[in-house]
Amino acid sequence: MNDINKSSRNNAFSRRTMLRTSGITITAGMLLAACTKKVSTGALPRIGESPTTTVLPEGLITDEVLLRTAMSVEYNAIDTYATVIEAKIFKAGTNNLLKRFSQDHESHAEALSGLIKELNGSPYKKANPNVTSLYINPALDLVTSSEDPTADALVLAHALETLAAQTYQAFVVMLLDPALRSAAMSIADQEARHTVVLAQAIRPGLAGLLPGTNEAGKPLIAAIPSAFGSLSTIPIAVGKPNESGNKTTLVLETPSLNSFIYDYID
Amino acid sequence: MNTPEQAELTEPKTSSRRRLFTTLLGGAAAAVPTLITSGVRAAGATTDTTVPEVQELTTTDYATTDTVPAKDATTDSMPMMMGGAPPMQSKTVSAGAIAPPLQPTAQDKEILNTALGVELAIRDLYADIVATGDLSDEELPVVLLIHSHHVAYAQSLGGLLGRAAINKRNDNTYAEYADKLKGSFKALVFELVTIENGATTRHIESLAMLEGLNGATLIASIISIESRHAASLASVIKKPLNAIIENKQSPIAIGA
Repeated sequence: MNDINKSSRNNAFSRRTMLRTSGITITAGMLLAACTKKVSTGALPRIGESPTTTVLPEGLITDEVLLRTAMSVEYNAIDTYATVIEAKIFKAGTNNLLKRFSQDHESHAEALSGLIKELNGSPYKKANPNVTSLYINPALDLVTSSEDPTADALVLAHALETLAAQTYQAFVVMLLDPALRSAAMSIADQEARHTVVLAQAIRPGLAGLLPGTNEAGKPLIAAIPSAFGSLSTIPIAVGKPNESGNKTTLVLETPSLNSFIYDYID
Repeated sequence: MNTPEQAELTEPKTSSRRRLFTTLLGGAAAAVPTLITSGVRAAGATTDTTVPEVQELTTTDYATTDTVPAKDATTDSMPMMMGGAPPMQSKTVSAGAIAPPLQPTAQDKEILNTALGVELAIRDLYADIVATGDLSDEELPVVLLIHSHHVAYAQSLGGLLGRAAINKRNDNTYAEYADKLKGSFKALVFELVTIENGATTRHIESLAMLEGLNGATLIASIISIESRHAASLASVIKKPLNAIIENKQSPIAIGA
């Protein structure tokens, strides 16, 4: 009996030992497997057919991209003024004013083109497609169908000039070269002056310089709207009034990540 | 020599040590296939195309223009800290770009103190006009509004400079214009247009030298409105269009 016990105790492959060994083996295996480096592909599983996708090129926001974007906004203004003049909304006096503003925008675009070339970039001589499709085209449609297209066209022009001025101010924090920040704000200086002329055309006189509200409590266009240059959205109410007497409100914003003219855009 | 009792006690120890080695070896051997399997599974996630029913969209399918390779650019979520500089403000920057500082540098402080001195001088000039009491009910709110803006500029510049702020008006600027600001409202405004245009030019030139982003953005936001001050005042006195929308004024406080 004692011998049997001894021999069974010395046998490493007894049932109990086998069970214990198996348990420890599985546990150790799982532990080691858990300690391996996790390889994540970031893949999302999908069942069924999926269309092939074209990956967008990587867009870096450089000084060149910012200047190209600013240049595109200048062309937005040039194109819009051309459309408004062609639509014969205004009489000769206001048309001449818009032509003068358009010439200023051409000068700005030319100046920006020079700066872009200095950075070995290629100037962008077209209007910003996103600004055109999101803001200008809908606004022009409303203006041309308005009961008072003259007033609405002035409001749109004021908003466009404000947008241009704000774009340069917004880019100051993103431009790496201080000299370019200065150049940008020297253009913004003139855009801001354009807004004053248009604001005075909408609300003339000393009262038109000051911020104010209409009877409904909505802010009026003012030549000096705030103490510091604003970077907020630009709401405009244009078009034929609805049953309640309210015009359609559009909200313009300065170009951002989805509307920058990256260097891969021709 | 061990007694039988001692041998009986030591035998299990020898046995358990052997078992332990066996167990470890067994565990390692058992882990090898597991590791191989997991490696194959990981590799299969990107290269295995033998299962047509299940296709995978990798994260690159959703790549946007915000995505930037880490080796040559930086993002907000990965602040670039070169030479102790603060994180970049822009979403992405080009390769090799050095982040500009946020706070004013020593040179910035000098430039901003000059701007502060100019704004304090302009504030005092407007205050003098108000103090004369010669303005009509229509004219006074305009002058008060622009005065309040220059107060705000001085306060903001002082706040940005903190203890480095000199908070002393530029006496040269004040002296240059104080005597000219007399007479009719039209005569006053004529001089105020010159002052506002000169201040705008001064700030635009300052911007080319400012390195810190906080100072640059503040000055930019001041330029946006000071140019409106100038154009508004010019339009009030019916200056020609060119004089309203063009600024050919030299900067004020030269050599300050």
